[in-house]
This record gives sequence, C-alpha cells and structure tokens, in this order.
Amino acid sequence: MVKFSMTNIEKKKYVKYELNYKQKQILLKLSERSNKHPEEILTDIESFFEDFIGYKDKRIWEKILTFFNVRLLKQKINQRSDDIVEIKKKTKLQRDLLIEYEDDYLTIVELGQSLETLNKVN
Amino acid sequence: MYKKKKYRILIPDTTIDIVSDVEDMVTQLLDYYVYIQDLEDADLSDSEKLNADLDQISAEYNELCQDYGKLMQEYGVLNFQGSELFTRNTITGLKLGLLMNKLERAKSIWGEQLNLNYDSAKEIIQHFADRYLMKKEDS
Repeated sequence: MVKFSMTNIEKKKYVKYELNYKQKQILLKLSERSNKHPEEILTDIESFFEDFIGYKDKRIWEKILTFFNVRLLKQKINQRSDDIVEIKKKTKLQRDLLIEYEDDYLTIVELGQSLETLNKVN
Repeated sequence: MYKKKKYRILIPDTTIDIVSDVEDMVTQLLDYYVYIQDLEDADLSDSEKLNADLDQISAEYNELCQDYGKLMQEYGVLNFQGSELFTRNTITGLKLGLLMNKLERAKSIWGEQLNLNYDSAKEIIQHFADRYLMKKEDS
C-alpha cells in the first residue's frame, strides 16, 4: 500500500512516500549489487528530485524515461554484442570439434579393423 | 535486518504535480537507478530528438537480437550434429577395450614378430577410449 503524508521542510513542501513491498525488494537487490546502503540509494533518488524541481516542463518525466530507455538499450546492445562474439567463438569451436569427431571416427573404424586382423591372427 | 524496515523518501510536491503516477515513477527510478547520474550531462530539451534516438537504438537492438537468434540457431544445429557424431564414435569405439586386451595378448604371444609398435598402439586406443568411452561429451 502506498502511504502519503505531508510535511514541510525548509519552506519546500514534500510528500513522504513509503516504498511498497515490490519496490523494497528492488531496493534491497540494488543495494546488494551496488554494495551501497539502501538509505544511500534513497538519498541519491531524493537528490534526483531536488534537480527535478528545477524543471517546469510538464513532459519532463516522459523525457527522462525516454532517456533512461535509451541508456538501457545501449547497455543491452553492448551485452548482446558480447553475446554475439561469444556465440561466434563457440560456433567456431563446435565446427572444429565436428571435424575432429569425423577424423576420430575414421581412426576408430581403422582400429576396429585392426581388431578383426588380430582376431584372425589369434 | 533490512527486510522488516520501512523505507521512505521525500518527494517535492511540485514533482507530484507533474507526474501522474508517483508509485510508478519511484519504481522506474529504482529500476533505472544506475542511469540517474547520467542525467547530469543529458540534453532533455528536444523531445523529438530523444524519441528519434530511442527509435534508432531500438531498431539497432532488434537487428542485433535477430542476428544473435540466427547465430544461436546455427550453433544449436552444430551442437546437435556434434552430439550425434560423439554418440556414433562412442558406439563405434565400444570394442576398443577388447582391442586393448587383444593387443596385450598378441604382444605376449608374438612380441616383435608382428612388427607392431604396441606402446604407440595402446596409447592411441587409450586416447580414444578416454575421449569417447570414459568422459562426457566435450561441448
């Protein structure tokens, strides 16, 4: 449940917002991953709001989200590019392995023929 | 220790006025937390340019995903073929143990008469036995 209560700090009006369960989970995971105290992360977000106050543009949040999406996609592109390099390496190894398996097969067949010969000698 | 704790943030009321869904905004800020710092250098003045950037980068990402999908498919086929060849070699090599015994026996009976390099032959047999009969698939 979202809880709001009004408070007044240094003449600016603020709304006290309590993180819901899902947001808390995200925060704690974030804290674990970034090795930062959860409160530190929340302070960063509050600092963001301080900068946000300066914008009078009604569509600013929409723009910020677009910016975040671009950033996220850039990161995903980097990850995907790494994945592509990796899968190409694995594919090359697999191709080499197929050639090895084919060569091995011929040798194993030859060894089988040697067994036949030895059986005759025996 | 943090699990039971309640977490609160203070949001300026002017921000609440601009944003229609505060709960969603907080979730998005947590999700995109790592990019908040980048906002300092961001140019947010031109909405059209931002959207054009997003469209362009989305198209680029989609193209990469398609390429990756094709490569994965190619790898999957090769991996399957590899698995089949490995199984074929395992089945074909089932008699390698028998061959090793025969070789030992031949060496004890005929020795040099057979003109065979027993040690080298045994090494080769052991190599294939290890690879296909003892160990799991390479890939």
